Amino acid sequence: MSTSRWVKTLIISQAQVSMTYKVSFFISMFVFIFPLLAKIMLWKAIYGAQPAGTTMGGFDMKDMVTYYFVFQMVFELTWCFIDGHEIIPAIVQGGLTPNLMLPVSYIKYVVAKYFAYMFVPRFFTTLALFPPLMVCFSSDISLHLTAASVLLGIVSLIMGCVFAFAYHLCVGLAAFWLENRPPFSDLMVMFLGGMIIPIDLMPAWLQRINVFLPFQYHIYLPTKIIMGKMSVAEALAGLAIQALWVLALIGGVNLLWRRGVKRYQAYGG
Amino acid sequence: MVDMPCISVRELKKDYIVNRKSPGLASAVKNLFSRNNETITAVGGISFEVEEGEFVGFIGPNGAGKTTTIKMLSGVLYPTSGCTEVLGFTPSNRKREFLRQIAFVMGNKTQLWWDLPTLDGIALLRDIYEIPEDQCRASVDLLSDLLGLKKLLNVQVRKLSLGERMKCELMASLIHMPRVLFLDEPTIGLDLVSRKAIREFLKQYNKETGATVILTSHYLEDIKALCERIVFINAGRIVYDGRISDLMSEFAPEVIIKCVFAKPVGEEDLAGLGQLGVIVENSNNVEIGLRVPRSQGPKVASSITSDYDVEDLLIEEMPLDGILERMYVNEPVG
Repeated sequence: MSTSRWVKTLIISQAQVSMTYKVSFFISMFVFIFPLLAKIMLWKAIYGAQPAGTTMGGFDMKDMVTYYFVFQMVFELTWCFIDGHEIIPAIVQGGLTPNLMLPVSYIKYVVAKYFAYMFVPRFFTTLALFPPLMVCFSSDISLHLTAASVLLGIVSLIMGCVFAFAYHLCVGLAAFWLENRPPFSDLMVMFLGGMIIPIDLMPAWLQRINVFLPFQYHIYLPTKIIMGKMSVAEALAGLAIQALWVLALIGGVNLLWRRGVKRYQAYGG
Repeated sequence: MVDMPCISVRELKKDYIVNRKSPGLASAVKNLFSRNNETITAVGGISFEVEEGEFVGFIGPNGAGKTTTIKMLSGVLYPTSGCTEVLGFTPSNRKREFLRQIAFVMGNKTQLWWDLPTLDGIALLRDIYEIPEDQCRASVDLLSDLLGLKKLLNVQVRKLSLGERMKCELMASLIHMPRVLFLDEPTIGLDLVSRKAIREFLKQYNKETGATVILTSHYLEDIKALCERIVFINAGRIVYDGRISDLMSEFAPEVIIKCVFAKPVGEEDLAGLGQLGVIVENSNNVEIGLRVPRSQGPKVASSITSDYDVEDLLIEEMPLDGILERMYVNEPVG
């Protein structure tokens, strides 16, 4: 009861802060368009040089453009900067100290704060930006939504969100040991998670290794489900593994917090 | 039930691991492969107790271990070894019930929201500490009156001056009426008027609520005005723990007798005075300061008044700043 009350006040306070900086925030929301367009042009050139009807990793040209669009949308909806934005500076520069004095969980506090600050505004801007953008590119896109792909896609998207929060909390909390961001933490999610090229195009050996890693359960799985590239059975199996990874990461957050806070040095006076 | 001290510290120790690196790129590359780590003892096994309602000043030079000690008492830092109990809790367990009864005010950190007015920050703290709304409003009224903050409560925190922000910070830290208050240089960088206002306020808070207060400050006036007891820490150890007045007798074993004679004393009389103590000042053979052992003070004073034609005589303590300055650099005092 009481937890929900302070979380609500925190979210309202943070929403007020977000409104103070709305211009820079909205500009930052458009930045993704440039790399997205670059990728689309690159793949159109690659496919254009091949005989018509060529597929790569099961993707024809329209699938490929659709993949990057949907992937980018899922990325915008789920990506979480909580590590670099909040946790690492707090641990390394000592800003965590005032939070440690409060009789509430820091993890809850920081997630609620971030949720209001970044997540909610991004959520609405993404939903406002993508449909018109996809309409503009409708001749390059083939997206046939079904009830199953939408429903399972939303479930996977929500879990992808929790995944992102938990993963980036773990990355952030590692600063108790490393005093910095763990190397490659974002690159792993981007490369092994299918942001640079679809996982389907990776060499078979890498795909085999990737099955045992968590990265594809963040953005790639929701993307494939929404695109209708997975059967219902495959999607359900994917969701089950995604849920296990989410649980494991939440466990990781708890463990890292409990161990890490003992190492906190409270620098900076 | 036996009366428990509010704070009890036994053999408390904190080590830091520090990486030593010489300046320059070559040494940075070398440091990549072999790190020159060193263990530094910030607090080296200190013990003390504080009773409920006491106002204790932690003093000592920079890097002495004062702030590290306070951070361990408030549960921010885990001690390397030793035992601490505050209000019957082990601070490092950071139990909710413990955190609700303490506050830690840092001169260089803020717990208010930078981009929001103080009142919004306080609304969040009110819900975090589960303070009923009317009680919170009453506390805000009382505290903002005492600190003269009424007009500033609706101003964004980042637009406040340092002194104004510090006062808001103090208010925010106190709305849950903590039983133990840790203050780490709360007056750092403030002007005389603001420092005085904060001092007055702290004195009143301690008197009216009976809260225990631990204060670190480099401003001696703060310490003298507020703390009956001081704990002097140097190089991670307690050098002195007791009343300020007792510090004088322990660390300044001598007093200065200042005499003003009716007419200038002759050479012979001057030699006679030299027999009684060390002449530390002499202005035209009329005003003479004599340093004598504390125990001899009254005896020497009465012999001077009976043997000489004295207009005025004063027994003065050595200045506290001077004593502390010499303690800071580890010089024998007196």
